[in-house]
This record gives sequence, C-alpha cells and structure tokens, in this order.
Amino acid sequence: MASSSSSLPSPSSSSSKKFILRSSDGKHFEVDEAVALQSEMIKQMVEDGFGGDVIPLLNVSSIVLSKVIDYCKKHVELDFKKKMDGDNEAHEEIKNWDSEYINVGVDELYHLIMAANYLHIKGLLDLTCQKVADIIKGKQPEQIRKIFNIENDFTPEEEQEIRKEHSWAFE
Amino acid sequence: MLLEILLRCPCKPLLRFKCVCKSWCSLISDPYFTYQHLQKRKTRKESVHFIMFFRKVSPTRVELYLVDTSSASSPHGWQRTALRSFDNQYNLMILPSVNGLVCIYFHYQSHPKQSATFQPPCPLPDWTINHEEVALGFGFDPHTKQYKMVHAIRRNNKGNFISDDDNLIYECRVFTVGGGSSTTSWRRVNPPSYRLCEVSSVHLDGKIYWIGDSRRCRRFCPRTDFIVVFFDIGNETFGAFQPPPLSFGFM
Repeated sequence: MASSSSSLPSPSSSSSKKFILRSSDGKHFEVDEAVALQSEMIKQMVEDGFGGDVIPLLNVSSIVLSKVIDYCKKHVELDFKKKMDGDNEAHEEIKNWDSEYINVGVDELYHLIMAANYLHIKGLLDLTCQKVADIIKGKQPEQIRKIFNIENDFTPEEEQEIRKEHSWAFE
Repeated sequence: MLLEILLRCPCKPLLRFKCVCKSWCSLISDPYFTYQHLQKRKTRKESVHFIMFFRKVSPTRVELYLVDTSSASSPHGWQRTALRSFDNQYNLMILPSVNGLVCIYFHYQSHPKQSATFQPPCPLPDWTINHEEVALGFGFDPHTKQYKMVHAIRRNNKGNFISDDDNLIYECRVFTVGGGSSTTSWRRVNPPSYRLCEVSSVHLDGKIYWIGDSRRCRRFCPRTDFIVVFFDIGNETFGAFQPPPLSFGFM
C-alpha cells in the first residue's frame, strides 16, 4: 500500500509523512501530510490509494499551487496553535493572516478560487469567495456585468420592473 | 462558483443584482438560495435585527419602514429605510417573521375583499360574502424549504355576518411560495374544526399556531377555556391540543 515518499527525504521532519504534488506545468512540491490533507480532493485520492506516488494536479499551475500551499501550511500551523494556546489568540491571528494573504489582484483571486474549488479546500474557498463578495457588494448591476462579462438579457421594461420592485436597494 | 460568491453577499446588493441578467435573477429569487443564504449567515453568527412598522406619511399613504437595530449600538444611530408605501385604505398587518422573511397582509377597508401580498403580489380570490373573522398564518416547511401562507375566513352558512350562535364554517386557503413546485394560486384545504380566536399566529418548526376555542360558536374566547390550534405546513392539516390548565387564565 501507499508508503511515504522516499524519493525526496526531508531530514528536518522525517517523522512526518510526505506527499509530492505536481503542478500542471510539471513542477514538484513536497509537503507534509497534514498540509496536503487540507485538500479534500487529495484526501480522497489518498484514501483511494494514490498517496505513495506523485499526485498530479492537472488544473493548478506552479505559481498558484505554491500560493495555495502557503495557505495550507499556515493553517495547519495555526490550527495547531489554536489547540495549544486556546481559541481567541489564534483566531485573531488567523483573521489577520488571511486578510493579508487575500489582498491580491483580481486575476490572482480568480486562479485561487478555481484552485480552491478544484482541490476542495473549504477554508480557502470560503476566504476567496468572501473576498469577491466584498468586492462586488458595493457595485451597480452595470459594473457587475462588466466584471463578469455578462450580457444583459432583460428588456428595458423588465429591468425597470425589477428596479422599481426593489428601489430601496438602489439608493 | 457564482453561487458560493453570491451566498456571501449581503441582502441589499443581492436585490440589486437581480437585474444583472435573467440567470442571476432566477438564482437569487430561488427560495432554496434564500434558505442557503440564511444558513450561511447563521453559521457565521452574523445576526441582524430589524424592527418593521407602518407610519402614516400623508392622509392617504402609509409607509413601511425597516429599522436596522444592529447598525448601531444606540437607537439614535439605527438605520431607517422606507421600503414602500401603501394606500391608507388598507388595513395592514405584519405577520411574525419566519427565517427573516416577512408576510404582510392588507385588507381593503371599504369592501369585503381580502388581499395578501407577496412578491409578486398574488391576490386572493374575490369573496363577495360577508365575513368578520379572519385568521392568518405564515410558515416554513423544513422538508421542502417552501414557505406557505394560510388564510382562513369564518362565515355563516347564509352568507350574513356571523352571530354568536352561528355554526363554525371556515374557508381555508393555502398559498405556496417557491421551493420548486411553484404555484400561482390559492388552494383550498380542509378548514379547522375549531375556532381561531386570533388573527395572527406564530410559527415554529413546521407548524403554525393560533389560540383557539374548542367550543365552536362562542364569539369571544374565555380566558380559561382556550386550546391551541395548529396547522401542519407539510401535510396541510389542522390539529389542536389542550394546554395544561392555568388557574389564572391565559393572557
């Protein structure tokens, strides 16, 4: 069955099981088991017996993957801290770290969302979607159409009707 | 992905986003979306508190106001929004909110005609009969995620005003809001066999409750003789139970 990868041993944490993740552009990333298992998708693969080999992540480029791994590493660390130091302090630290982490451009945000969705990392998906929600919540419908490249398929009358019905939301 | 993002937006922008395009509109209008949106808020422990009331703004208009009591710590800072105005000829009533959704009932004063509104407005059938007792309910079916409105009117069999010794004849209708099998009209259901003493009701865990009277034809509910009448929103049937007696009566 799946044994820990011995091809790239890491002396600093030899006790922990390692996984190798391969990005879409062929780069390898070695990560601790706990870090990799932040992804429900990888967890499922491991349960199905893929754990010993290199795990290919066809939809995630190395640039994005390294950023995603940063997130997972930090959260493993902070989760551990939370257990040790108690909830409040760690909670504050997570919040601060997350808001710093997610302070990225729209393109990067888009790639992170896609990666978080593909890898099924709940915390990251939550963080990235919330960021988009925060960006768009102050916008008008016209701006939303531009951002998401959506064509308005309402007739002017239909649109007017909706605007009238919810006029207070447009103030 | 879009769903995940929109579920994290506050309500006000969501209403604006309804006019982005048709697919956004139908997604946001879907009751299951509303339900998921609410659940998301609950898990994040973001509670919001509102007060809703009517205020007369002119001799002919009343305005429905929403006050966000979570917007500031002192009442002076609370945000007040005028939602819409109504013709003053209506008797207006706000039913207790269910999952943050409010049902507003208005009754046209000068004619014996009932109207209830939701969005979009769905008028009740015109009843030209005279009646003077109305009972209303608004609730949520946790299994189908549907909201239902219940409207019961009491009349006597001759079509005249009810007197104390008339038999109990209710006409009861239900309107289902969303949840897939969308309906556009009121459906008749078997009426309650007990008197509903209150117009308004409360909703809890898939049932709507009224204070009722087991003696069918008494006009006023004596405080010592009440029962609790309920409507099961899932199977659309009425039932009743006798609460433990109170020596001092029910307030």
